Amino acid sequence: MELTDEDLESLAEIVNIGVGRAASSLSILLGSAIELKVPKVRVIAASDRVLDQVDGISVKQQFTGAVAGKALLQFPTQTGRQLACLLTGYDELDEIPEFEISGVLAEVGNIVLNGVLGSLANITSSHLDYTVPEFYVGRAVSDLIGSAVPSSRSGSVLIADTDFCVSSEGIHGSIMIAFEIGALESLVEYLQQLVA
Amino acid sequence: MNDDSRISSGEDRLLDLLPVGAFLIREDFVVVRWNRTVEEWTGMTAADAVGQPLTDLFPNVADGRYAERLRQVFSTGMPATYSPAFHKHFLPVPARHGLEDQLMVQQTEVRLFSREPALALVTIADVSLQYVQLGLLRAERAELVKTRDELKAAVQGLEASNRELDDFNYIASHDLQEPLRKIVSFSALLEKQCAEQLPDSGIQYLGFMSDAARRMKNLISDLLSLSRTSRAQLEPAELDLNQCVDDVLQLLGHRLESTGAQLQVPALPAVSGDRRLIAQLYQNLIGNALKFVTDETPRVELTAERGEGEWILGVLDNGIGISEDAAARIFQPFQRLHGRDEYEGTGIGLSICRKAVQRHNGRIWVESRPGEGAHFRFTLPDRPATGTAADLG
Repeated sequence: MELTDEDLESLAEIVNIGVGRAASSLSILLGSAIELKVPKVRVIAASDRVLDQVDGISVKQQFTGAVAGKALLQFPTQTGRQLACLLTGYDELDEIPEFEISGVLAEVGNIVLNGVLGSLANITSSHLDYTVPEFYVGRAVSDLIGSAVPSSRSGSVLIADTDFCVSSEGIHGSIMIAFEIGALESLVEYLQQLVA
Repeated sequence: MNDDSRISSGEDRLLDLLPVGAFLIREDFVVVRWNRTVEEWTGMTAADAVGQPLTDLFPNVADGRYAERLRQVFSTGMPATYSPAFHKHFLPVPARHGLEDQLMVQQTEVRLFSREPALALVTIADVSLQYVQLGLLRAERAELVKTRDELKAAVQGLEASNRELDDFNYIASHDLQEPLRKIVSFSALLEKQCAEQLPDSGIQYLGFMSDAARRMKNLISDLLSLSRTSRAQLEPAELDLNQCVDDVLQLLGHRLESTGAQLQVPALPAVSGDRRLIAQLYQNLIGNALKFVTDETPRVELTAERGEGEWILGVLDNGIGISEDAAARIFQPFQRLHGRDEYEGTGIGLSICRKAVQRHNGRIWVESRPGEGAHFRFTLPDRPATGTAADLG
């Protein structure tokens, strides 16, 4: 299915509503303003080999229901450490222990992915079931969303480049939602009907 | 009030077997199940907890950052994770691992367990041990940083004090030369032009004065030499010690001849060093070997031995030797072991040797016994390139 610019804008809007809520929750949690922005989104096939080359720190939540798939919040390793340091007050990247990084980013990932998936559930007026967040380091995105064999991967991946602004520092990560085959198409058709 | 028929006794037992704290709450936060681990951690039995709102049992849970996301679990079905870095504890329970003032640190996850009626499962993992270990590591690290800073400050203090001492040494010895030159030249003039007008005792006093002035001149000259060795800009380069020692032996040619010394010089290696300072080092050591002699014919042998990344070099003689006590202080300035009548010298030569070696990050020491000669040894860094210059065999 070929997505138009309007389709991508609608998808970006859904993600932005979700990250907006997540930013509010994070700001309340941390007691300081956190900004989250998703300037644009793009969609690639789950079989795209580029997903084999992306790894780092990932938080994954799976969802099932009217729309099903796997959602990831993903950072390059150093960027993930930097974000964890900023949120917890460590001055140096090598000072923060691994278990604090995993705890902090699992909670941040939980809040961000809840925001985006909640926005998705709201717009489709459906109830989704979710798993608790899982934390990974050094695993390729392709491995986390399905199989390491590209030809056996089906469906589409929505990639939302995400800018975090924490204590005046800019942190760049990605929200990735791997939809099961046909799920994204159904969502887009639904959105097209909504705006028609 | 544990009457929810859907929670079978089998599931009850399953919950009790979990190695984590686990309990179930309703949408109104009323506890419907309370496993044994939570009983143990909180000291609150299932009989006391079940049927009570969690917010009554633990008022901190009513705090917005917990309660808001707990409500979301019921309203959206989305899970909530509470990390220890942000929350420390979900349930305020007593300390474990012997830390009286630290509450148990928990990683808590809440997810919808059933939909009708809605129940949420709260699981709590105790991660206190990780924090205890982290605390120990931080304490060790802080101690190391403190020690490092103290050492750094001490080294900086010593360096500053050494610099001041070097500066003082240089200025004092340099400035003393001028008045001394006048004393020497006017006493010479007095001796030359007024000797006839002086009584014998005056001539004798003048002799004492001239002699003292000459010794003072030597002292000042050696002090300046020591100062220059400390302050000189090092020009380290690959240095063939064979050439360096040849130059020194030429300078000492007259003394070698006059003492009739037997000299053994093996093939010496190439090192990394400053030609001027190393030449001064060999000149002083060989000079001492020719000075502190016994009645035997002086024998002087240069030695070289491979060390790890360095050469252990030396000057071995059959002279009068040095006692163990004296060996410990012989490299200090003005440490004379013998009277001036016995041996000429200012007591600074070996200080210059030590400084020259130290400037090359080397060590210098002496192996000796009285009457059995001495082996002055020192280390110099290997030349930076591969291999060694000489095939020592």
